[in-house]
Amino acid sequence: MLSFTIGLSALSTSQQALNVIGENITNANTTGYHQQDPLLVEQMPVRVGNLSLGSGVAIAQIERQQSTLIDNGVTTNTFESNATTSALNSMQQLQSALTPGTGSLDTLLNSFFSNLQQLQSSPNDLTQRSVFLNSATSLTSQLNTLSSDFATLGQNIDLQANQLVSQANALAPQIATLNGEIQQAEVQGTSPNTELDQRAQLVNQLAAIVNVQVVSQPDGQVNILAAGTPLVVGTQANALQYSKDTSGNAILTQAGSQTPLAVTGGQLGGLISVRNQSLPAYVSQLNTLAQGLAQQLNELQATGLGLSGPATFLSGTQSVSDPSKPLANANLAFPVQAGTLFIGVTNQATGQRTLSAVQIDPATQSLQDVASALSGVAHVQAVVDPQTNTLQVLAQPGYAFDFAGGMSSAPDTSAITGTATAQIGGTYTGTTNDNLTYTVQGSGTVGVTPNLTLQVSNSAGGVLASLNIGQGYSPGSALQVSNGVTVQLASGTVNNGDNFTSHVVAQPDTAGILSALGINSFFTGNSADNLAVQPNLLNNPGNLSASTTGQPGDSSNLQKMAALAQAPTLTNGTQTFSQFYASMVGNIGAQVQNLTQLQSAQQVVGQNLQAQQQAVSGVDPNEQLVYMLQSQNAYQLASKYIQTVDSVIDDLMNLIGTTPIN
Amino acid sequence: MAMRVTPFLQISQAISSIESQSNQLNQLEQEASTGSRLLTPSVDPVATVSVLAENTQNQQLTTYLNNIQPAQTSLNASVSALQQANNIFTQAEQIASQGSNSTNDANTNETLAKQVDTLINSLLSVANTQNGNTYLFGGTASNKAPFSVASSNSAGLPQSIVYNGSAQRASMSIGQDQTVNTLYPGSEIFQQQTRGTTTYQGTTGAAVGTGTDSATGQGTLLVAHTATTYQAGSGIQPGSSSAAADTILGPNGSHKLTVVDTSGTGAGGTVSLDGGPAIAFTNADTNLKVTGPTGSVVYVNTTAITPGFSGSVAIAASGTLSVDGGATSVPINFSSNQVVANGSTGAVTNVNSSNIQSTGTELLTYTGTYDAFQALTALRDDLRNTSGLTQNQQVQAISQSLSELKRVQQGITNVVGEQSDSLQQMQSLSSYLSQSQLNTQKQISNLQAADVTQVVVGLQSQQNIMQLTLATVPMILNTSLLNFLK
Repeated sequence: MLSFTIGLSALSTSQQALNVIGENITNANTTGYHQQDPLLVEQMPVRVGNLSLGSGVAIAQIERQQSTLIDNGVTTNTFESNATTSALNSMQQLQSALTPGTGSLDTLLNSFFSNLQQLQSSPNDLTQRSVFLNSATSLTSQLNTLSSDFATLGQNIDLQANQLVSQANALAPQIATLNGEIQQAEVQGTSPNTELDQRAQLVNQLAAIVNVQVVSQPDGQVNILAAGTPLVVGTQANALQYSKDTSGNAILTQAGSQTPLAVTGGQLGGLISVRNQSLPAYVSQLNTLAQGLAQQLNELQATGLGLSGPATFLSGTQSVSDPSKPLANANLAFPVQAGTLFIGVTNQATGQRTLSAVQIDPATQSLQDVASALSGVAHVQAVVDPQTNTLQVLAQPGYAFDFAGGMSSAPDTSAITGTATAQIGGTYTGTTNDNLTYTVQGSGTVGVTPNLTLQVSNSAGGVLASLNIGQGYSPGSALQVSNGVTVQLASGTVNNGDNFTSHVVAQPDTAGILSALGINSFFTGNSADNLAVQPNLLNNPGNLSASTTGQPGDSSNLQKMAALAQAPTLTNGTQTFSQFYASMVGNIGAQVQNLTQLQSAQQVVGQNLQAQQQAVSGVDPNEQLVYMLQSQNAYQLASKYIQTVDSVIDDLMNLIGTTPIN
Repeated sequence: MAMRVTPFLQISQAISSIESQSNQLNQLEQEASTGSRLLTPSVDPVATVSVLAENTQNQQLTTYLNNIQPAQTSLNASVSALQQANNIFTQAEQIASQGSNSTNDANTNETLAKQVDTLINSLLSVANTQNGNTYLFGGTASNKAPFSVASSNSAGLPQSIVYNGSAQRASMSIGQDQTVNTLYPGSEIFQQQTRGTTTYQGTTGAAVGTGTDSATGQGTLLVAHTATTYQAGSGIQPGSSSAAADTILGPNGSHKLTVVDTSGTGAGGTVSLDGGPAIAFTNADTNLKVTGPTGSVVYVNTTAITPGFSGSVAIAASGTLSVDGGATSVPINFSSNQVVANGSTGAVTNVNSSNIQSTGTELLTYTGTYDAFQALTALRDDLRNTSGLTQNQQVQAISQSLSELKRVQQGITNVVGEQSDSLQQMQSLSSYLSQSQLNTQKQISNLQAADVTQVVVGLQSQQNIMQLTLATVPMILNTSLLNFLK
């Protein structure tokens, strides 16, 4: 009976529709669930004579409500916002390490220089020296801590990245399997809606890890390109691999390949960008700061004098890779340039100090050559320690040496043909090195002959002073030359043209060789992770080179050290140590701020996309309730229809006296 | 068509809103509890960098202010020590003016000398003043006493006091590119070298040469006689004591002997020196003493007077000069500048010997080269007359000391002035730095401090919004068709 069939189709269709509604309502809060709608169609008509009679209703398919455009948008937003979030998390860790506060590097840097400054008021006070050296230790400890924090962050990123890659590698086969199931269902004509939801969910999970591109295939399968490489092709799943390239950069490759992939999104994208760009940049800035501090202070420590005066033995702390290779190629942490090193040798018995110049050229001289050149200076010997490849300098018994520059106390006056002798005194206060020539003009007796002059000229030939040493000059009294240098001639005779020269040295080491080799250094180590205050200084604070004369009240070298606080020594001579650190903090603050703003923007986009997705695919329970009423109503109508048809047949059966079978 | 809105969406948006509101509340609460709005650099990177720079500046200013204090203490101690030294010299000057009274007897002078002994010890202790463990007048050699007694006299009292400090002033920085000298070398204060003209006290005729001396303090020039020669013709010869006892000196013709042979045979007559009293001679006198009008003496031998000689005989008398008591000497060449060196110190004295007329001792005062201690010991020694001066010379020497004492005192006053100037500069620098520090701290506060009003209002409004959100969520869920179905 066609009528029954029609009724029956309505009943079963309503029931199935109720099932779908039930499914929708129960999954209303399921993430990734796409609302399903039964698609009702008329059943094919039955032709009776010239009539075409409808044969009822059927559910052609259960439609999954989705928009590929919006879903792809959500996927894209997922990997973009995850990249930002993971980068932000890492950068926030970096930021918290650098956030100013008690014990932060800026505070320690300030108190380091402050203690240095205050030490000037009593430069020979060992307690104050210890206080200063302890603040230096706090500074290096914090540099070490920051360096280790940065290293730990790098390791954590590696660990996290490896876990993420494992997750991605676990997701890929699941997607491939679902691809197979979906294809099969499509062939069979059934709607693989649940599988599609599951697959979409997995793809989004994958997008949270790495940037993906979803390429739909006509058979219902999707190919997934992760970071540009095919991760899932149909039912085939590949794997990813996280490793380091030769230069230590983190790379993501397809398992078995060495070609780095362009990871632009997902948590991996964020992590790898921090790992390869931001983190090394901050590590390098921290090292620049540490090295700048070390180089400047080492140089000043090496070119000053401690309370015990000149040294008899000094050992370098920075080693070369090969003592026979030119210094330029010997892997020194601090650069050496061509220049002059002045070494002062003091005869401990007479107190007479002689200043000698040693030429240094890193392009041609090896450590061995430098040792030989130093050994050429009278009463000094320099050797290379074959164990450590460091330089050791020692004085002959009865002598001591220093690198404090200044002047020779007794210049070589052998060229004076008369009987007078000359002596150089004072303290050189100039800022450049020079070789002064003293020439006698006129002949006669010092202090007696009128118009007897000693002309002092610099190496450029400029006349610095014309000093009367004739009548009116008290022999043996000091005459001011310039920049604190004095000269005195004892009574005696001089002849026209008699001359002698004497170095005046403000920069005893224009080559930077002392800091490069770590001779009498302030710090040991050469980067933020291993910088430490020289144990010699901590054990004996008297060794701190506060002066250039060795006098207990002389704080001239401390003044030079303290001036570093305001000296623009970093970033091509534009930033002080504090400014450099402040800009580091400012940069990280700006980066975190940018990432936070980007994250907010992406969140807004994400929320919009979610709203759109929900508008298309979300389940509105009220809507479903209306559909439910509709289906219930349809069921009731169909039942009534069947009852009516049955009653019609009943009536007919009563006419023929037959009990209907129904 | 209006967009479909599902409870799922509403709930997830509500959760997201609650999260972000909690976040903002937390931020405000932290601002309220810490008083700072710059909780992390990312809150305001530009302000963070400024705060760091201002912090550094603030610390720097604090340090400078901290440094000014010990510098002030040190200079104040220095000034008050030098004022004591000043008082010592005022007393010494009083003693010197009492001592220069020619009516004083040795006892009075001894009393005065004893007072000077006390002053010498006081000055030594002033010159070795310490501020804490730091010697104020040793320059950069601040850890050892700058002045010490190098030699004592026979009574065991300090004779010479030497400087052992450094010649370099100790300084410290008290501002950017500003340093102050805190420890002055004692040599600069107590040992002056503003050389003046050397004075000669004596009757030899030696005078200041044209060269510049290098000897210091006081000294003696010993003008000794070597030989006298007489112009030929008169037959007069130097007496046997001539070399040792003649007191005249001078080139040929600077002195003359007038011989009158009254006997006409050379057997007897008179001789006179430089127009002095005529002394009778005989031809038996081998060592006749002839005294000139100024007391100068020659011994002559008149045994071979040319008979009948009457007239003037030009005399040349050679001698030597010595500034080391005769240990080393140079022959007098009667020139405008003769260099006489001290054999032991090498210090030279330039003597104008052209007018030297007689032997004797010149008391030399190398003015302006006294050191403070020498000025006092010289005064003391002059009071005790250790050089054996005549009373007149003694009074002169003491008067000379007085002017040296004044010169030393002036030098000390100059340093006091210089140090007081530094103190005054530090005072004004200190108030400038304090003002800068105040400004810096204000700036830090402006940049960093949380605006309390804003925080409180913000907290209140965030709370309201949060409450509203929380109140709305159940209302969304209550709106369901279920409520209307029977």
